Amino acid sequence: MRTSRAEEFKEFAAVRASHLYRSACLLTSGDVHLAEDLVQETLGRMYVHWGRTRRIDNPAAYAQTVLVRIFLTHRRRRSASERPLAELPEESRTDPDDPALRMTLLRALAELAPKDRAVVVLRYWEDRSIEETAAALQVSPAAVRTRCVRALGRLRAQLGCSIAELAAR
Amino acid sequence: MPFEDELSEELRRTGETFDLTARTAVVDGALKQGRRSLRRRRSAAVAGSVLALALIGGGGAFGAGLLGGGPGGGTDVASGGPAAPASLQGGLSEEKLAAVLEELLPPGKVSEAHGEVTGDEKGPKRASASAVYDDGKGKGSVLLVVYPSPVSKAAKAAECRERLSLGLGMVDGDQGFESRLGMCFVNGTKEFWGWDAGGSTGAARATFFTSGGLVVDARAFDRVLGSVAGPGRPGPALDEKGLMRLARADVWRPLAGALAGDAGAAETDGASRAPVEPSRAAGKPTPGAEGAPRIVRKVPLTGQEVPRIVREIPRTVQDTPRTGQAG
Repeated sequence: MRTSRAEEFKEFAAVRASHLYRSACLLTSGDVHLAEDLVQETLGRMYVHWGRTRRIDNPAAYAQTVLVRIFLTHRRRRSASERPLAELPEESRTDPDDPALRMTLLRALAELAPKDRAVVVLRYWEDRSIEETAAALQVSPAAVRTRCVRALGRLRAQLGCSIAELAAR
Repeated sequence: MPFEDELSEELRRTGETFDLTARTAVVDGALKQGRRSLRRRRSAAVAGSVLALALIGGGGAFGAGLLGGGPGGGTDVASGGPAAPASLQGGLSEEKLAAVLEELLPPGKVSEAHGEVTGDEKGPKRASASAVYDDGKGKGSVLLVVYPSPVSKAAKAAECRERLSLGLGMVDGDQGFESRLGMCFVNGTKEFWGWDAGGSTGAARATFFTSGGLVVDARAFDRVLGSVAGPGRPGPALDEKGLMRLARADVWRPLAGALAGDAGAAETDGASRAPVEPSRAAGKPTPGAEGAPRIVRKVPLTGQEVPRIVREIPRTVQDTPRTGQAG
């Protein structure tokens, strides 16, 4: 039984790891090492609750929520000593098509407050509704709306023009 | 295109450029991390529950009864005794103990499986595994303790012998074993099932002596140990057959060579105690433990191992002499 539990979990983890990693990369603004750590911790916690996870309707979404919460906890712990970097910590694989836009977007995300970034990732990467985002972040829907408007405003200001135009340059 | 849609599109495109190359390492690392966390939580839960029970019960007797107590007694978890060795010489690590217990349990939901090895500077002396088992009727703890058989007990065990013609876990008739036990029997009759005449059931126990000098003590409870929720099911989590199957599994036998014996501690081993129901044990002598009628009958010696199941017997039933075997 234990073996099957581990096998089931491994199967789930293998399938979800890539998506979680991509979310983590966006949350960490491209810090791939931190993203790996976050994913590992997320999956580790999922394993602890794996028995109960079977009763959860959507384990994948649950894992995503766990990831965001771990990220925010991590940022809270380090917020006193962390400073924004001029350069991204490490460039992972570059997109041969449009590395400039990707870097610009990641840099703009890095300028956002962690919670605002989480809102952007959940809303526009995960396609979660305001209510779902609020539940994941354990805040009110009004707070999500406020953060969303603020984050979009900052991103628009950072990018300077529409993304489509930026991409066309 | 609205800015939000463009952002969404671009986030997707950007996100997809990240590829987790070390996926296997991350998944394996997560599995390891999860197992470690689980072990830590279970250890904390067991230690906490033992401490709480010891406090409620007013002493070590209760804690020892609950935990099965090997040669070194049952209080080593609560008392913070010698550090537990990480694994056994016989190849069964704490993790494996938990896994083996899970595998031996009948189909059902198993959670909070936990293995533990305790000992001292001379080596490991006791291996135990516990889990919460739910066969659909509710949750109850299952506890299994393995330790070397004290010499005096092994000699006395010769009085009980397994009769091969009987089904699994069935032994011919009642066997007197020692004065502290109310009775030692395996016959599966329902009338002996329970803690008191009121019909309430709390715990059941099967103890198995192997020819290699090992005691395998399996217990099942009607509640989750350490939980204040009370009974979670109508009776112990395992019936006689389930307990005997667990105690008699061959997988425990190799542990005989790995666990350091301590013959001198014969009278403190868990086999001499009747199963203890958590909420009733506190400050209350075990009913029927002393002065209970003892039935001794010699049976032809046909096997090497001695299975026995010990139950608390309602007084009304104890008063009725039994002959032959039922069930």
